[in-house]
Amino acid sequence: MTERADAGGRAEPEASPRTLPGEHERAQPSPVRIAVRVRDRAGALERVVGLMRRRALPVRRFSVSLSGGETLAFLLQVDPAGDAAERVAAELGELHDVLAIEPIPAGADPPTRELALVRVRTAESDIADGIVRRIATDADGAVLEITGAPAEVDAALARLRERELITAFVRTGEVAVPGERSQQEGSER
Amino acid sequence: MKKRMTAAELLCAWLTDHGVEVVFGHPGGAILPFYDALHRAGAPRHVLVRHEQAAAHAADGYARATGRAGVCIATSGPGATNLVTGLATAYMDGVPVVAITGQVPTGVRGQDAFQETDILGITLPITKHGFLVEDAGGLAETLEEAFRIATTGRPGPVVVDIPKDVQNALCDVVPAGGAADPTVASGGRIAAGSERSAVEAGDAASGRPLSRAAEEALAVAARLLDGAERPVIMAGRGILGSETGAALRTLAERADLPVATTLLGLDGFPADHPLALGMPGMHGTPRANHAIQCADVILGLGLRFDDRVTGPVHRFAPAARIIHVDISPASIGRTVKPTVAVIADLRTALPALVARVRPNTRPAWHAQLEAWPREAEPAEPWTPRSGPLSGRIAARTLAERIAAAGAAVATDVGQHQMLIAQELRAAAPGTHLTSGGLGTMGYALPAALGAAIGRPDRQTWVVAGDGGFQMNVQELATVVQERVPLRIAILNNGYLGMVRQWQALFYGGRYAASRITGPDLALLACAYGIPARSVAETEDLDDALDWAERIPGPALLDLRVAREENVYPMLAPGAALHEMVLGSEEVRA
Repeated sequence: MTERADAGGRAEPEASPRTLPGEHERAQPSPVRIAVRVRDRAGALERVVGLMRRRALPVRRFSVSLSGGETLAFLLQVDPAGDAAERVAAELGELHDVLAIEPIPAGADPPTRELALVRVRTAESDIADGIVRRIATDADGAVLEITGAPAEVDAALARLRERELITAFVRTGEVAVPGERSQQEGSER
Repeated sequence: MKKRMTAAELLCAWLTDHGVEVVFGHPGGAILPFYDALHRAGAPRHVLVRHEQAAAHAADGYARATGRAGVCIATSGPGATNLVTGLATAYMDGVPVVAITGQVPTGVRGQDAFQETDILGITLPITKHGFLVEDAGGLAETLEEAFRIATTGRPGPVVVDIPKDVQNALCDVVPAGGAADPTVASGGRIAAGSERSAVEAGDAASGRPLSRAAEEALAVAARLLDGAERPVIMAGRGILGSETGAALRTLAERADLPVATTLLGLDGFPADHPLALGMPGMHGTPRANHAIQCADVILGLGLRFDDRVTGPVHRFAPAARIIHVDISPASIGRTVKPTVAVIADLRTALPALVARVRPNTRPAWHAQLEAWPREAEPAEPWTPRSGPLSGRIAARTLAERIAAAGAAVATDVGQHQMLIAQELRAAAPGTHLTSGGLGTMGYALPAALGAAIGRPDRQTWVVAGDGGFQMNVQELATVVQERVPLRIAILNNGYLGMVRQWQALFYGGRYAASRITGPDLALLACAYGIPARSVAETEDLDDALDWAERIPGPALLDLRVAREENVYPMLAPGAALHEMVLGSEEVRA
């Protein structure tokens, strides 16, 4: 699932009519990514989200996924300005359910993926292309699955948009597999 | 050998076996299994408050006075929500409190059942953590974790919410290794960070070991302090929580470092020490505030640099490089951005710093400091011994008595709180209890109740205003029922005094909703069975205080002080620390 955190009370730049949600971020400085593992028990999600709101943390977006070992994996995209990433990490570190915080260094290319499901107004088979897969059809058109790196998903959506085929879509937000980095790079608790 | 008992019985046994001597609470439907078990077990001691807010404040006061976690008990719904202000108070000030709440039975949860409320959800932002116990077999482990969270790191409140059916459920208990501690044989929840638990349990006594980053940061900090010409230590409540007052004193004396103590750290460094600057901030002393604004290095120890201490952050200590030592990474840099951040336990950081700094003297800096008064208002020549009683004289006299008796004092919030903070001298650690962060009116009486029960070996005073006192006045009944010999002094001026002061100074003298009337507090105290006297003249004060200290049980003094007296020094909104006003003439100018 994906949330638009808006935790700092800052209005996100409005997407123009010609852009899709998520695409406007490309015009801004790249966010800092922070991977967070959280113990999956009652109230954990609420605590993390509540802390973002209460401390007005500069989190642009986050995704959260189930992970192994009764944990949740968050991927936060934090404003790159100043010490924002350090502040977010420090504040989250106060939560008892947070197990690990792994800032992903600038310039790193973490293996992240995003899923988009797109309803299009055509059922033609040539709509499937590369990372775009047709997974259902009906009288109104088809549902496509797009899975890939966020930039690849952006590009695929842009191609569909240019053809004015999209009638509805959802995207999950960027997810990463936690625990791939060494513990020295994160603050393992 | 296994033994079967209900979770409610286990809760009583666990609390007793883990050194919890007293709990503060109020019964109700969803917590009745626990109360029944408590009645049969006869321990721990239960103090029946008249309102659950007072239970949380009493647990808070107990914790501050004893250094151990305080425990409060409430039923579901309104009982639990009544705890909220007390939990928020403890959270803001970093006080270890464990709140145990009853919850509606599991089968009706989520159905808006009678007295159902989501207390875990409500308290998320004002607690360190919360647990819903869904399995009786996991209770012991949950309690272990709850107390550990409450008392380690930056302390704070933790909620343990237990549905009624879970309290009634049977679970197997085996003594662990033949010890008295009951631990659950099976069905417990997964040990959450058990390795960390063991480490922190050890740390609780000796302090968390320094990380390499902290060692390096302390080395930089020591070099900054060695080279400083105008250094100042700012010490907060962390000094008390870590019990490092002696190490602070050693550091200050070794390197000749003047010490300002925040409202919550007042009893962490002796106010009559030659290096003491007094309290900084909105109603701080001229010496503390000017010293901070002129400092070239500030060493912040166990404080948050909150807005009442700093004034506008961008104008705070403009010439200073700031070293901030705190156990909580999140507290560092939240307001004031430090030059050197040391994330460390003061119990290990302070001795390490003492070992690194060079012995030093700074006569030029002390000569400069002498130019600024260390007292908020000088004692002479204006101190009257007769005539109408003023709040300042009442507070000064009370503070002298409290210090002389080695007593503890709990204050509410407002003018009397600042007066006592300014006037208090030689307070031992854990003897000054006040709601610093949240600023909770109604705190003093129940907090003092908890403190006095926790430390019956010393006298405990309540000093409150007539506004705040009436917010939890019902606890006079608890004082009587529990036979707690509190000394209570009300600085009664017929106003919400600090509100009126702000209205006088910054709202054109329009006293909107700040005037309060009655009741006759001495008569009210008598109605509860507490001997009381009213004092309006200065010359009668000493006699009344003698009387209050002499009688064996609780006593109340209704001190009818000047109605429209202001507390100075003070900072106007937006003013920097050095721009404090010292008196009403300055404000008008």
